[in-house]
Amino acid sequence: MTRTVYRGLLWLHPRDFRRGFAAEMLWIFDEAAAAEGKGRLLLDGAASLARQWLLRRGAWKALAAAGAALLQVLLILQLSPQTATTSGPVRWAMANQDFDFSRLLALLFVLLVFAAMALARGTRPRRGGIRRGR
Amino acid sequence: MRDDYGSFLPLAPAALHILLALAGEPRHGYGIMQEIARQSEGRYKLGPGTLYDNLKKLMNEGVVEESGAGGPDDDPRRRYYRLTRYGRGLLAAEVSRLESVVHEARLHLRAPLPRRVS
Repeated sequence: MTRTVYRGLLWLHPRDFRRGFAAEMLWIFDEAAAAEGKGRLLLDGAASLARQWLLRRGAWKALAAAGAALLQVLLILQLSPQTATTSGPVRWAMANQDFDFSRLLALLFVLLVFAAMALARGTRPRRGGIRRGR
Repeated sequence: MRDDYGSFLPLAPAALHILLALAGEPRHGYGIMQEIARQSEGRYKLGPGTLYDNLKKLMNEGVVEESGAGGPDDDPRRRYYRLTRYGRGLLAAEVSRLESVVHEARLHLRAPLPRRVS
């Protein structure tokens, strides 16, 4: 069971890392599970998964962009006249009869999402441990 | 030939331990983990995730390379790694740096404490 879970964790790693090292990591799991403890190896596998995606691949930027996009959709829904209620920013917008405010806000968030995406593409993944300097 | 080790130094603890484990002979991943545990008397243990994350970086930097060592009876999933010439020089540079740190620390620790004037 734990071996299957560990194998699943390895399968979820980025493709290049998986192709390079997953078979060896599974071999180490088979060899070392008794001595090192299956729980410890599982935790290490989970930490490795997070490290490879979030730090080495910079996936946190994509997550931030997705979060900003979701926020944008929620705000548009909240501020649109069809779904308007009489509370919070909607009441303020209706009182001012200024639904252009919602469009402006939507545009702002679209720009934010594009900026985050550009940052994610243009920035190299963070390096840790040994450094390149040549 | 490149010899600008300064930009790599100081090495992160995991990278230093991996290089030390490979200094003697080529080893496979589990062998590196065991050697690190032996050298540190069990105080420093590296998991496979941390090990291969560092190995990948060290290989990309040309510090470690895959070795063809390994017997015919070995598990085919085993891969052996060894230091490159550059990696050996880098390890020597780091050891030299650490020696100067230790020397400096000993000098300061041996120096008499200033007396308090009352």
